[in-house]
Amino acid sequence: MLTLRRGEQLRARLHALCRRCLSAKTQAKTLANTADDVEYSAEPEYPEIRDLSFKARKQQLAVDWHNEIRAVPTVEEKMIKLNMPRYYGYKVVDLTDNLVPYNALPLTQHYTRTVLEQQPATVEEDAKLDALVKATREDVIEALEYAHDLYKHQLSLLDTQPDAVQRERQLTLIILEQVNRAVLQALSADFAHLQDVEIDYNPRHEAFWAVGGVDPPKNVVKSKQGNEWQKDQAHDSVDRLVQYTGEPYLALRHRHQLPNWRTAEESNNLTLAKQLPRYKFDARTLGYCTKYQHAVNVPGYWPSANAPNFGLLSFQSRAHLQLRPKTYGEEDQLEALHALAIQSSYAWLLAQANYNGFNTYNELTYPLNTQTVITNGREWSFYAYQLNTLLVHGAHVDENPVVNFCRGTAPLPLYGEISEAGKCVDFNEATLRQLLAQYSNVPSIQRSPAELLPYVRDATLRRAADYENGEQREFLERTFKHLASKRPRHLELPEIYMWEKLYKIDNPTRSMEPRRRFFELNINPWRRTLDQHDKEYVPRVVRPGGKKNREGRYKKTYYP
Amino acid sequence: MRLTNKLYAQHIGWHFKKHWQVQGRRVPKDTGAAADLLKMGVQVKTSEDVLNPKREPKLVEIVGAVDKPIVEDETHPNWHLTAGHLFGDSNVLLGGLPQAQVLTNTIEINGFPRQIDEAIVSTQFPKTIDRTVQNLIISSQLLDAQQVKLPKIKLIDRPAYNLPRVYGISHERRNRLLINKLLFEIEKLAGRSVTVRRKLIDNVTFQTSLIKDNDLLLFKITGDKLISSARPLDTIKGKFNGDLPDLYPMKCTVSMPKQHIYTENTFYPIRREITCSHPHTIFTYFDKTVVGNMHGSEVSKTQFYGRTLLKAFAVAASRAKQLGDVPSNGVLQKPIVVQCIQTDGQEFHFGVLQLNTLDLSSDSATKNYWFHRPSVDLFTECSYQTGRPNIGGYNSEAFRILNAFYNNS
Repeated sequence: MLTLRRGEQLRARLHALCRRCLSAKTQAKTLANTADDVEYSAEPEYPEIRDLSFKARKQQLAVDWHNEIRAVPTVEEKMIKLNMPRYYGYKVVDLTDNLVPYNALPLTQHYTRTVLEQQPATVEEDAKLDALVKATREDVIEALEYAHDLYKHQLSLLDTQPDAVQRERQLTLIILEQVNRAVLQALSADFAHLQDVEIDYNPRHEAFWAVGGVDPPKNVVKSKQGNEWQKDQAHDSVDRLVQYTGEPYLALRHRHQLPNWRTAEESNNLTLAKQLPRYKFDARTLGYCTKYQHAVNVPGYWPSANAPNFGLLSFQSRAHLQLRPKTYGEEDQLEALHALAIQSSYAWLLAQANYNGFNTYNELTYPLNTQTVITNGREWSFYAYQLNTLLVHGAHVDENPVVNFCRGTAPLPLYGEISEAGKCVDFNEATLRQLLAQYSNVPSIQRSPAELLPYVRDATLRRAADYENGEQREFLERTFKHLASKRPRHLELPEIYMWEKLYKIDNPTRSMEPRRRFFELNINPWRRTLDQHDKEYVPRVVRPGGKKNREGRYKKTYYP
Repeated sequence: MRLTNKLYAQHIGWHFKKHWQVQGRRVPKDTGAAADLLKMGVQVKTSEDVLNPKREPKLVEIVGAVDKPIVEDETHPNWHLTAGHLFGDSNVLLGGLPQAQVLTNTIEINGFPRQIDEAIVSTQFPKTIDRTVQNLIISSQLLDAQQVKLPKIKLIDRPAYNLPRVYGISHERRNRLLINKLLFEIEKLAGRSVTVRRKLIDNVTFQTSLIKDNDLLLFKITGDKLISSARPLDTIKGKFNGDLPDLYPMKCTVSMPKQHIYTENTFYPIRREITCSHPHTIFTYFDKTVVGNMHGSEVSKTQFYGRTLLKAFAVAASRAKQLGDVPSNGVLQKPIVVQCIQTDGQEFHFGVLQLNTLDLSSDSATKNYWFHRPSVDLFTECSYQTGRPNIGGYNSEAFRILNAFYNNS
């Protein structure tokens, strides 16, 4: 009896609801009729037809994500956003400044989209440069002799000598610090920009980017071939993520940018882009390694409002080249130097671009330039690099018409040798001239902040430190540094034990056991996103809103 | 499951095995044959001796990938019977500055030499200099991107509590960047005429040994930065008198670790033939995780000051010995003046040592001079506060003194 009455009540309510709904619809129709000029046009305007194929949908998803990154307001948040998809980090190809395997140049050019040009070993005749060479020559020779003598004397104290690579690193650092000081002092009277440079000593240079056009790994091919509808895409190229880590001896930075030596028209050249070498194999075939880590972009310092943001000159080490077998040959040695210069210049500029709101998915709006010197104290090679584009991922590797440029010299000796008496023999003025030409290259391009950082919010909000909310600033600062510190996660990645692989995965012999392990619940731990973690508990004593407040039990997170 | 084997009680094989074991344990009866044979002079051997004769294991010389470390005992080539008292990079003197004074035969003068005092007061700086120095402090202490594991932090109240490990800029790098940047700024102000006469070198070693009242003192220190100059620093004008402090009941070598392995060579990092080899200023960093008392207690202020003096002394003494014209009474013809700056990145202690004599015995008439002032803080705090770099309590005094020291000649 009771249930019947309840049913009737419900039916009555439903009727009432339907009646209300119908009346609302008819009213809306009468309203729309009055303004139908707006809704209808003579020519039908159809929405854009979307390609609904699997591949196109995937590409669209990627583009949407890239646009999301672009819309993120501050520089630090953009870098956190880049890391959002992975709690345990990306699988990256590990490029470092202390390993250049055999035949690394094609891979380097492909990964950095760089056209390599030979620079003449002699700089154009210039009276001013001649005077500078004359003025600094004695100082540089003295610095060289001083550094050699000092190091030789230091070694005499040691019982066991350090190995050759270590020796070269130590000696080159001493030479560079002496030469750099001598040149800066000699030149700063004539060149005001050298008064304003900031010198980084052994700075940390890191950059992260994505590269397309590489053959897919075997497991991806296999998995796609197993799917009837994916078979034809099985051999499509798959993006590789690259992380460069380097530590030059010295790096000089300035507030302004170096002038470009390639115009926008020269850089925008599809035929040139098509001629670039393409290294389709996995980078591991050359001897590079892969590792898991977060995407880190660091040009040597943390983002700051008034730091000199643009690179002027960096000095790279070539000590590890001693470890390469002699059988690699002279030509490969030269190519290794070029590869090293391209990688380090690209990575430093990319990290600088990141501090201006660009990244590997958001294209540069103006070119960036830098100069690089690779040296062991005696042999010096000089490079200039112009970064025009950052898009190397996905289909851009085929379609992007813009290329980057690098021009460099072969290694030039600064002196013949240091004699037994500690005197510098056969000093080469041409090399000094090249070095001075790089120092005296005046960074002259100034851009307005709006032009420099087009993808960040506005003048009031460029970096995380600009936020009004103190808690948010603190959270972003801590998260950003945590990602960049590469510290291991609190809990390691869950492991599949060997017996589980045997008896649970390969041969499911334990069907009666409850399924509790992650691989039995279809959880891929690598897919854990950055924000999937327990929130930080706020003890009652310090809880805002009083001890009884249940809302503020956990600290807020501000992931972009 | 049981780890032991199941007992197959009915297994015939098992029974045979047991039978063999029982039979194998039988003790042979002594028949008296051996004794008789011995009486007749025949040697008796057990079957064990014949079947398994004893062999001495042969020692094999294994050539490893690395050289074996030399054993630090009497066989060490540098072993001496008399122990020396070492002052190194990681120990401080228990008695602090008074002990350092007695050890080095030095009288303390509170205040700098006159020309430095004048330079500190009279030097004019551009108006923007304070802003610039603050910026460079921030850029070296906060904005550098190095992230390494820093030493563990322990709470004194709760020593067993494990705090999260902090990552950041290492102490050494912090100081290196700060000093480099400060010097770069000072050199810009000083102009070329001064800077060409100076050279900067990192990580230099000084080594020397001296005898004081029958005790051998060994100095083996590193300077984190050395400014060398083309001309030695002028001798400080004026006559200074004072007495050495009384350490009784302590002996002056207390808390200096004894070493039997040492060399009595002197090492100065630059050869004397080189033009720019005179010591001008030595910088040392103070890292409390590395430098400490023997018994683990905190380094006190006076111990901190004493370390500055000893570092300066080691530099001056090794230079004096390198120059080699030390008369038998130890009094130098031309005193050696060295400036020393010790810093932990925040606190700066400046001092000037004039080495008049290498004779350290307590009855020596000539004394060395140590000019110093209490340490000054460059800033009181420099850290990120709610996500923004912040520097508080900046004191320009340290920069002014540093500038005066650099320009002193």
